Amino acid sequence: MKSQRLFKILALALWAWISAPAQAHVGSPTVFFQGLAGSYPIRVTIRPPGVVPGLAQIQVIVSSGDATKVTVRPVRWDVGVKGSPAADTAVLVPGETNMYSAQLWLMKSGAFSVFVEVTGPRGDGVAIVPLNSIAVQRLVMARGMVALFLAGGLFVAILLISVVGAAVRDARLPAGEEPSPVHRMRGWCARGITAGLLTAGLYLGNTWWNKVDKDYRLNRLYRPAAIQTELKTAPGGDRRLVLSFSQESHIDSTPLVVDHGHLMHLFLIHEPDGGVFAHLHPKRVQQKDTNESVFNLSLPALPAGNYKLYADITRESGLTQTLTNNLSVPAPAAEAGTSERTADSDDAVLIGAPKALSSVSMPGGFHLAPAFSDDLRVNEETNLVFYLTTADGAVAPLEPYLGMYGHLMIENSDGAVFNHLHPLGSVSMVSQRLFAERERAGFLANKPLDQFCTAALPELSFPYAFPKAGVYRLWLQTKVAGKILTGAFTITVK
Amino acid sequence: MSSQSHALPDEFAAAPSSTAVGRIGGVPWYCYAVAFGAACSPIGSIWDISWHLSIGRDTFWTPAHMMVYLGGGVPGLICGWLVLKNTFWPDPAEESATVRLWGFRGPVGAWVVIWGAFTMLLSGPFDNWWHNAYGLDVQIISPPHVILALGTYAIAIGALLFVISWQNRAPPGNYLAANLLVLFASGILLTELSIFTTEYTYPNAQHGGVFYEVCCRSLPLYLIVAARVSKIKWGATWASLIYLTIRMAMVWILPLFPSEPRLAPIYNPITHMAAPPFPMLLFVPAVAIDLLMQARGEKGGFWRDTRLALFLGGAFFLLLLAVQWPFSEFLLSEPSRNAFFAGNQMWGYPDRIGAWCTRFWDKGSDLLGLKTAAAAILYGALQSRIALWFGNWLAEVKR
Repeated sequence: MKSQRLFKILALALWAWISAPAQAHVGSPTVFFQGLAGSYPIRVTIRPPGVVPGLAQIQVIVSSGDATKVTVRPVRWDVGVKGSPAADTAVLVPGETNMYSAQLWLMKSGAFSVFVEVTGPRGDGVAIVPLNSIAVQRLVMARGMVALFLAGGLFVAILLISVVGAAVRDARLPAGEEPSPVHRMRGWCARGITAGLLTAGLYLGNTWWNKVDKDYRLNRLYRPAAIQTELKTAPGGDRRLVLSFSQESHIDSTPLVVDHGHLMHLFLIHEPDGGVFAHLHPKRVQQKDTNESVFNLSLPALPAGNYKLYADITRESGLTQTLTNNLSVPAPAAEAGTSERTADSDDAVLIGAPKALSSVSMPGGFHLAPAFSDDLRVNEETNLVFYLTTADGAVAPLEPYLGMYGHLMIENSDGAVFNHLHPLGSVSMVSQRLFAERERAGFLANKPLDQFCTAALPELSFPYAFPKAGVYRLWLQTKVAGKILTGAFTITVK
Repeated sequence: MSSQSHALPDEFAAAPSSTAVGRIGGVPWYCYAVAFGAACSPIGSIWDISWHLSIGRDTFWTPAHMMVYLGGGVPGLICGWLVLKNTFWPDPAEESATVRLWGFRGPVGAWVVIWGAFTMLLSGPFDNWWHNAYGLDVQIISPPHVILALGTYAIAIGALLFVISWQNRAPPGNYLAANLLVLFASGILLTELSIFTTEYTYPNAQHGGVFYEVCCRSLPLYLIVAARVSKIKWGATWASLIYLTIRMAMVWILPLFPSEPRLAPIYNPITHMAAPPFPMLLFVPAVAIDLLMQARGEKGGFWRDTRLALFLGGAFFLLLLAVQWPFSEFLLSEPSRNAFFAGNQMWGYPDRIGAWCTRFWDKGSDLLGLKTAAAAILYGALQSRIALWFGNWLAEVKR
C-alpha cells in the first residue's frame, strides 16, 4: 500500500497525470464515403484525430484501378478552397494497386470537407467528403509513459538538486582547494532550497496542468448540445413531444438547414430491448428573441416505456450533430387507440424486437436479406449489404426515401454509438451540397462532381467499421411502392 | 577516478595559456563550441515560431527543430565529454578547476549544461504526449514548452558559467576572449527571455501595462549580470547589442525565404516566412544600467546593492517607456513597412488581417497608469536586486 501511495504522490509531483476515461460520444468518428469522383468509383475512409489541431488519416480506394494521381485537400467551411493549402498527393500503399493514403492536419474545430481529386485516363474528378473537426478524446496516459516520466523526472530533479549543491559548495573555490565545512553546509542549504523551489514549481505546474485540462474539457472537447424534452398530453389524448435546445454552441452556431427534406430527424428507440423504433420528423416552432430552437410533433401511439432519443441536425456550415436524451413514454390514453399513425408521411415506426441476422419478411410480401458475414470485428472495414426482393424473388424496385434508397441506423446496445448511414457512407448529403455550392463558381466550376443520389443498385450497401465490441442493433429503412419498409437486426461485434 | 584535489601553486594554475594548442585568445575551443552551440536554441526557436506562422505543418525533423536540437545536443555532448575526460583522463590543471558530483568531475557550467540537455530530452516525449492529448500547440507557453525552455535556458546559463570561470581564472590582461564569450552568453540569455515573453511584447502591446510589467520582471536580469561580471566596460550594452543583432538578423533573413501555408484554414495567404517583431531597443536602458553600475562602483554591500537596484529598476522602466512608447507607434505606422523594420509583417496564415494588426491592443483594460508603472518599477527593482546578487556570485565563479 505504501508503494502505491508513493507512486501516487510521485505521479502528482511529476505531473504524470492520468485523465478520466474519454467521454462517450454518439456515433463513431470515422467517416466513410463511397461514390464517384468524376467517373472514378472511389471509397474514402477518414479517421479524424481525437483532438484539434490534429492529424486525420485518409485512405482512398479507386475501385476502377486506373487512377494516375489522387490528391486530398482539407477545406474549412468559412474559407473554402481559397483558404486551403495546396492539395497533398496521396501515396499508393505499398503492395496495393488502387489504395492510396494521406494525412491531413485539421487545425480548427468546425465543419470541414476533404476534397478528393482523382486524375486518370478519363480526366479529373472530385468528390467532397464532409467531416466534423471536433475534439472527442481525453487521452489517458499509458502506464509505460507514466513510468518514463516518473523515472526521467526523478532523475532530472535529483540531478538539479545535486548540481546546485555542488555549484554552491565548490564553484567559487580557487582551483585545487578543498571545500571547508562552511562551504559544505552552504551546499546542503542550497540543495534544500532547490528541493523546496522544485516542489513549489511542481505544485504550480500541476495547478497549471489542471487548469489547461479544465479549459479543454469545458471549451474545446465536443459535448453534444443538451436537448430538453417535454411530453404534453392534450384532452383528446394527442401527445405532443416538445424538444428544445440552444442554438448557440462553442463550436458552431450557424443556423440549421434542411437535410433530406427535414430540419430534424428524430429517432426513438425503446430500451433496453430495441423493441420499438421510430424515425420521426418534428417541425420547428419559431421562437423570437431567443437563441433556443424549439421543435414539436404529435407522438404516434408508441408502447409505454423508456426510450433513447437521438436527434440529427445539420447546420449551415455543414456541421452535423446528434443530440441525445432519454424519454419516458407513459401508456397512451384508452381513447387514443393503438394505431401507429404518424404526423408526417416520412415518419415510420416499427414495433418488434430486432432479430438475428437472417432474411426477414416485410409487409407487401417483400423479403429483406442481409448478405454479409456475422463474424464482425472491431474497426474492421466492411460493407453491410442487404437485398430487398419481392415475393417471387425478384429485386424490389426501390424508390428514394428521404433522398436515398436506403438508410441504416446502427445503435450499440449501451447507447454509446449511434450512426445514421446511407449507401454513400456516413457523410451528410446536405453538408456535401453546401460545400459544393460554395465552390460552384470557383474551384468546382467545370469539374464533374457526384453528390446526389445515383440510380438504384440491386443491393443496398453501407460502408462501415464498428468502433467498439458489443451487441449492435441495425434498422434498415427503404421505400417501395410508396411504402416505407423497416427491417431490424441484431449482431455481435467482437 | 579521483576525488582528491590537486594542490596547485596558485589559484590561476588552471588558467589558460594563449599559446596552448586548441585555444583561441587563451580560451579552449570547447568554450566557443558550447557558447555558440547554446545560441542555436534561441535562433531555432525564433525560426520555429516563424515556421508555425508561415508553413504551419511541421514534423520532428523541420530545420527549425533541428536547430533547437543542435542547441541542446552540441553543448550537452561537449560537456558530457568534458566530464568523462576530467574524471577518467584528467589533466591535473583542468581537473583542479572542476566540481565533484556523484563521483564525476566537471566544470560547474558543464553540469548545468548536462542538466539542461537531459531536461530538453525529457520534454520531447512530454510535448508529444501533450499534442496527442490536447492538440498541436498553437501557444508558446505550455507546460512541456516550459520544460523545454528550462532546458535551453539551463544550457545558456551553463554556457555562461562555463565561460565565466575561464574569464575569472584568466591572468590579468588575458581575459578579453573569455570576457567577450561571457557577454555573448549574456546576450543569448537575454534573447531567450525575450522569446519566452513574445506573447506579451508585440509592438501592439507596448502601450499597455502588462508589457512593462513583464519586461521589468524579466529583461533587466542579464543586462545587470553582464554589467557586473564583465571585466570590460559597457557589459550591459554589449549584451543588449548581441540580443539586437540576433533578433534583427532573424527579422531580415527569415522573410527572404519563400514559404507557403500548408494548413487550413488560411486567412492570410502569405508567400514568405513571417518576420518576428522588430526587437526592443534595449541598448538604451542598457547604457543607463552600465552608467549607473560604473557610477556606483564594483560590488557593494547588501544595502548599497539594494539602493542601486532601486535606481536600476526605475531607470530600466523609465528608459524602456521613453524608447518603446514612441518606437512601437512607429512600428505600427506605415513608414515601418519595409524590409528593415518589417512593420506589420509578423502575421501568419491563421491571422485574419484587419485593423487590429496596426492598432494598440486592450487600451481600455490594460492601461499604463501610475499604479501599473509603480508595480513595474517595483518588479524591475526586485529583478535588479536578484541580478546583482547573482552577478556578485558569478563574478567569483572559478570552476
